[in-house]
Amino acid sequence: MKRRQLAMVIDLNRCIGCQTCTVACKSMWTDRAGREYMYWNNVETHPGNGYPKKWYEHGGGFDSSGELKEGISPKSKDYGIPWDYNYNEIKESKEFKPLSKVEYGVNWEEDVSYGDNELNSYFFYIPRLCNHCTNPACVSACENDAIFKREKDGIVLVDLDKCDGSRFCLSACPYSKIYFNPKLSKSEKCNFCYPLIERGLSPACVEQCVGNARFIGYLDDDSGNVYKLVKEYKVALPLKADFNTSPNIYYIPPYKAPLGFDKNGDISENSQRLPMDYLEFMFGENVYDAIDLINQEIEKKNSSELIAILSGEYS
Amino acid sequence: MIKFFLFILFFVLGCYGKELVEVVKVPGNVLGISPFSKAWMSADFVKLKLYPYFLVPSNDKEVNSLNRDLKIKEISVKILSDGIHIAFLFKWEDTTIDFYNTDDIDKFYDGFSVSFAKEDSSHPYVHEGSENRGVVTYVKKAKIKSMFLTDIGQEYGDFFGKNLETWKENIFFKQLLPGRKIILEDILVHSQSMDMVYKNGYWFASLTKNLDDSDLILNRNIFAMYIGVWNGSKFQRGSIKSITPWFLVKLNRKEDDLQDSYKNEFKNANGDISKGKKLTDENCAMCHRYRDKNEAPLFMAPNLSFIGGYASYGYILESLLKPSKVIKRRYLRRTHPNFLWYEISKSGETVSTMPSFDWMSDKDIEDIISYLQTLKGISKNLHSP
Repeated sequence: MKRRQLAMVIDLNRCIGCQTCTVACKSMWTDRAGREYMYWNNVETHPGNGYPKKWYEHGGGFDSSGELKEGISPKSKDYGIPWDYNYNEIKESKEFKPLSKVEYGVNWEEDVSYGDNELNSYFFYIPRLCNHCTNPACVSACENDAIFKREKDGIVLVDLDKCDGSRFCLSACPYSKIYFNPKLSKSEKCNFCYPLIERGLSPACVEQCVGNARFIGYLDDDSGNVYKLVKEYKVALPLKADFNTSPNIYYIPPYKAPLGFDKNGDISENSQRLPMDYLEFMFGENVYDAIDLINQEIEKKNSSELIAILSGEYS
Repeated sequence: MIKFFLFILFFVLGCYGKELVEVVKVPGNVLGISPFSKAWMSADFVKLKLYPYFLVPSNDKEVNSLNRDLKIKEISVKILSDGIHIAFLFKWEDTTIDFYNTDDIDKFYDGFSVSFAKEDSSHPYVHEGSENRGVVTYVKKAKIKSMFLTDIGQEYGDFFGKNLETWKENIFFKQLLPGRKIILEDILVHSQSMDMVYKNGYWFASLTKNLDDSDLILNRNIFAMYIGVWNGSKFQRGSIKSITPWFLVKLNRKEDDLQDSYKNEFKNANGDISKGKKLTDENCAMCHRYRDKNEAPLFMAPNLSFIGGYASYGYILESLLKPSKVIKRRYLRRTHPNFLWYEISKSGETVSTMPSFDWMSDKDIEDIISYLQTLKGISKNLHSP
C-alpha cells in the first residue's frame, strides 16, 4: 500500500477563536470518563501560555541527530483543576464564587493581548490538535508499541489494549497533545476522527469550523488545496518545526494587522503590529516569506490562485 | 565420608542457596488467600535482593533525576502449595505509599510483577523474555480496582478496544516483543488472584493461581521466576523498576536433582577478578557504562552497574559469546536511532550490535564474568552525563 499522509491547514486569519471546533471535538470524544480535562482540539490565544501551560517549554521531540529528547509530562496544575460554582448559595443572595481555587484552565488567557502599549497590542488564535507527525515522538517513546501510525493515511493512534499507562509518550510529545486518562490508566489523543475519514467525511473540527478556516487533504495530492498551500506556495507552516517531529498540521500565519499608533496616539503608517519575533518562534523563519508572499498575492486581486484558495473559492 | 557429604552440602547451598526457594506444602486450599492469612505461618520468609533495573536513561526527565542514586533493596518471599494451587507472598519495605487514584493524573503507583519462565528446557535469561524463551508476567498495581473502568470497548463504541484490531491496517513502525505475555491484574480469571496491602511501612503482596493453566505449567519439580517492584514515588513504571535475579523454585522437597543446566546457569564464576576488571575496561567500557566507567556514549549500550545482581552466570556467558541470543527487544530503536542495539535482518533474525567475544580464551571469559558478578553495589549518579 502506498504510504500517504493526511494533513490539515488552518488559516489563522480566519480563526475567530469561537471554540466551535473545541466543542465539536469535546462532545464527540472527550466529554466523560476521565477525559474531562482533555481537549484533543483546543484554541489558544497567542502570544500566551496555551494549554497545558507553556506546553512549548516541556521538552520532548527529537534533537537534530534524531535522538529523542528529555521532557516533562504536564501536571494537573498545568492543565488547571476543573472547578464548580456555589449555585445553591446564590439563591440566598450570596456572592457567586468558585468552590475551589481557580488557577488555570483551558482558554485561560482568552483574548489577552500582547504589545508595547494598549493601543498597539495584538493577539491571534492557534487551534491546536495532534499533529499526526511523520516522525511521532510519542510512538518512539512507547515501550509497549501501543502507539502506531497508519500507513494509508498517517493517522497516529493509541492501541488501548496495549497501553499500560506508563506515560512516556506524554514526556515525549513536545506539543503536549497526548493525555493521560486516570480512569482508564491509559493515554489518549486526537484520532483525526478516523471513523469519519474512513467514510470519506471530514473530522468534526474541520466540519464544524464557522470560519471555514480548515483545509484537509493528502499531502501528495498535487491538485489539492493542502498540497498547494504547503508545498507549492509554502504559506502554510508547521508549528514549532524545531521539535523535529515533522508535524502535519500546518498554519497560515497572520499576515496583516491594523496600523499601530505612535507615542502621541496618532496612527503610524510604518507601524508593525504583528509580533514577528513570536511568529518566528512559533512557525520558524519561513514565516517572513510566507507573509510577504500572501501580501504580494493580495495585490494581484482576482488573478491570484493562492488568494482564491485562501478565500475559499476552491473548497 | 561425613566431611565429604558436608562439603557437598555446603557447596550446593553456597552456590544455589540464594537462588532456590522451596515451596511449603500445606493442607486445604491456598487459592485466593490474603497476604495476612494464617496459612502463611507454615513457611519462613526467604530473603532475596532487589536490584535497580534502569539500563538507559528514560525520555522522562523526572524519572531520570529521581532515580539517579538507586540502592539495592530486600524482598522476602514465601511460597505455599496445596498440590493443585500455588500461592506466593512477597514483602518489601517502602517508606512512601503510592496508591493509584483515579482522579489524579500526576502520580505514579507502587506495584509488583511476578514473572515465570514459560519453558522448562531453556532459561529465559532476559527478564522481559526473548525469542523462544517465553516469559509470563503477572502485574499488579496498587489501586482500588472497583474505581476503574475495565470495559474500554464499551466506552468507545465500536471504534476502540477489541474492535481496534480491524482498524489497524498496514501499521508501520512495527516492533514486536516476542516471547512475552503480560497478564494484568484487571484480566485475572477466577482461578488467579493478586493482592497488595500496605502495613507498617511494608507492602505485602500475593499471587495465587492454579499450578497449571493455559498460560503456564508450574507443576514441575523446579521452575524459574523473578519479581519486579515499582516505586511510585520515584515515578518508576514500565521497564524502570527493581528486580530480583531469576531464582529457582523447588516444588517437590523430596526430589533433589538440580539439573546440570540449572547448576551452570546460576553458578558463581571462579576467575581472577582483577584480571577480569582489566579485560572489562579494555573490551567493554567503550560501549558500556558501569560504576565509575562513564566513557561510553549515554545510549550506546545497557548500563552494567548492577549486572552482577540481576543477571545470572549463564546470562552473562551467553551475552559474551552469542550476543544475538539475548537481545533486550524492549529497547526502543526508534528512540535512539544513532545507537541501535540490534538490527533485524531480512530473514527476520535479530542481530545484536554487540560483537561476540568468542575469540577470547575460556579463562579470560571466566575472569570477565567474575568481575561482572561483582557489579552490584550502589551506583552514584546513574546515567549522569
